[in-house]
Amino acid sequence: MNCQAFEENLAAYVEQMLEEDERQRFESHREQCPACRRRLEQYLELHKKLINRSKSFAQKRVDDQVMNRIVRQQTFMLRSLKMKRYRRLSMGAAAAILLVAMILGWPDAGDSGSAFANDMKDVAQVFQNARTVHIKAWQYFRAADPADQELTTEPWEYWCDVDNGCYRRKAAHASMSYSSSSGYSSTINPAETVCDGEYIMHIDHAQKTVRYSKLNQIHYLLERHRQNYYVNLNQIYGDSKFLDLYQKVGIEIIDDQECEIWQGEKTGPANPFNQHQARFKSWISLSSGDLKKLMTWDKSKNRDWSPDHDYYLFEHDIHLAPSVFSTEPPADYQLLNTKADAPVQSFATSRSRSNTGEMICYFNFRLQDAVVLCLGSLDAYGNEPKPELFEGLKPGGPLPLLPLTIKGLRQIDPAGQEITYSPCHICYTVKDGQYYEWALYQTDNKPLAFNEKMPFEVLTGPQISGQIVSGAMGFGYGKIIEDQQYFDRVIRGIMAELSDSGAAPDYVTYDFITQLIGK
Amino acid sequence: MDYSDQDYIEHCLNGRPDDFRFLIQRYQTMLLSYLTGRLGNHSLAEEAVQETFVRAYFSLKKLKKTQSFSAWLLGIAHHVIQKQIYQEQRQHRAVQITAGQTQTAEFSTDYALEQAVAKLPEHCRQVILLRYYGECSCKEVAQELQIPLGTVTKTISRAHAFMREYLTRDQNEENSE
Repeated sequence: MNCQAFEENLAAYVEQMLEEDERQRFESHREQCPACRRRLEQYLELHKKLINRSKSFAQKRVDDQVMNRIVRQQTFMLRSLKMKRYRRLSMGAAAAILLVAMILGWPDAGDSGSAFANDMKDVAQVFQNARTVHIKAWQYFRAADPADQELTTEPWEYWCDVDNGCYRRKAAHASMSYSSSSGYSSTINPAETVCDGEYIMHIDHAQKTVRYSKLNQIHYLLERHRQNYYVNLNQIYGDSKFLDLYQKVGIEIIDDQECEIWQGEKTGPANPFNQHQARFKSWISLSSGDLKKLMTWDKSKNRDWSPDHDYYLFEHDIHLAPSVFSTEPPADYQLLNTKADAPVQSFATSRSRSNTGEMICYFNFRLQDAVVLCLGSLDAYGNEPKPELFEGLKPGGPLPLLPLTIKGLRQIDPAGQEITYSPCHICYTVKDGQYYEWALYQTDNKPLAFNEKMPFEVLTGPQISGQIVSGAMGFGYGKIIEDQQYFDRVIRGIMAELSDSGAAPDYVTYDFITQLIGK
Repeated sequence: MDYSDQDYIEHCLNGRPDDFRFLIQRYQTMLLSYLTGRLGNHSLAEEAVQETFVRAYFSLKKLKKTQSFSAWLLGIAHHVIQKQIYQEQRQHRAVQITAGQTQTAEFSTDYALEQAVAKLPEHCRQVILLRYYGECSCKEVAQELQIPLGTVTKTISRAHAFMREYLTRDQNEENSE
């Protein structure tokens, strides 16, 4: 036996699968050849290592988790299939009713089979679980002059790939003005935003310009959540709370398909800061359970109802070509900056101004019954930051005496009761000479559940003079903090990002915050 | 009696989906080591293992009768991690700046052995995974992959030589740093 044959037979020898004569030849070569002896030793060493490794890997079992996931997914798929079955069942039911009718007379033709019907909640569920979404609509714009009833339309379109944090949104914005000389005037500016998960391209179709901004990684995580949220709530059916307002009102044929009409109207104290009222009407196909069409109307103070959006195409879980999310600028458009010098998207989500300064609220996150905010009290009037304001602060204690701060948050629950959230200090971070205050807002009342999403009224005020100014601030992300992992990843991640040391304070942990809430 | 993969698959397709559990139990270790080797990270690998099995379950109908289940599973795993690697690269920085998490540090010599396995040519890799991490005997490997027994042992010998080379080269590189 030569060395090559010896090496080839190593496994067969170790696994005791060589014939007797082969084994003898193998062993005699081993005695003669020191290099092959070494090879055998090395083989056995690796062999043992592999066996030990497989034992340690075998301790990890995933069968329960996988089976649970399969059951969950299957339930979801059954729901989607349900509508198809409903079609068959309802035909069966019709036949049965005919038979019975011959004996008993006609039954009350009303809600036969309604137990199987998809309602708005089922539709919402489908979009909630969708990984990709494509929606098309017409946007309606009113003339600036309230007396003018004429409407203009603009195309609206939205694509989203939740898993990759990509989206594209085509929407026009109207700006209206009034001057005594020329009266009412309005301009409609079609614009588009494309996010490829790394850069955001802002296209102004009216000016034919392109501007870039860059997402940092924390933003990327937040965008993924935000898009999910966007799709779930805003784009399709408004607030999830409105789902309860939908009622089945009739049946209509659209594209040769029989569709149930569901209708709802948003009134009452749902949004105390905005006098707009909204009306929704959606058409759900009886044969497929799909949303075929959705129309919204709105009504602002002193004006009549007017169409807002007419959504006519809903697609989900389809393949979206990568070119949809391409951030290459359209031809002939002027570049205001390039990807290379694109500014990193600011973390700020809303601002508030007073005569003592400007305050920027960076984030808000909701724990079960509290809100974490990062307040950067930026001074728009050229004052130097005052580090001494941050000295001696205690977690759980009062906020620093900044020129302007959020003194509280206020919500009004559906019953009209007022809920106030008051702040305490968590920590502060310093980055590039800028101070960031992290505060926790909690309430003594029962807090509103996340799905009853209400805008917060933000009570801001210059601390020193004690005067409180109230104002509504849009709270962009408002992402609920699900668990410790999310907390570490996002809250501590942002703290680290907004800190010169590149690390969040050690004591600010999920447990620590939960304890603060207890107090 | 011991059911074959094919038996379990038929059970699953004929109204006994719970039997899929036995297939998971049979191949989870093999898959976990392969994916750990590819991803260099235990927790990501675990997630990918789950995803692979879930996808496999919902595609069982597409598996041809003559096809080896384990080889098919490895193919699915490959697709799953293509996506995961892509996403991981994007989040790489986010993970780095996140205090208290050492996920990226995990990509280290801890999984050198699994990485060596992952680097093997495909036919060698299948044999090694089945033999060691799937705890199959050489005869069972031959049956599963429908190749002669002699080929199995020769492939194992060759794979050993390949891995040894990979591991020593890796070590030398480390020492020279």
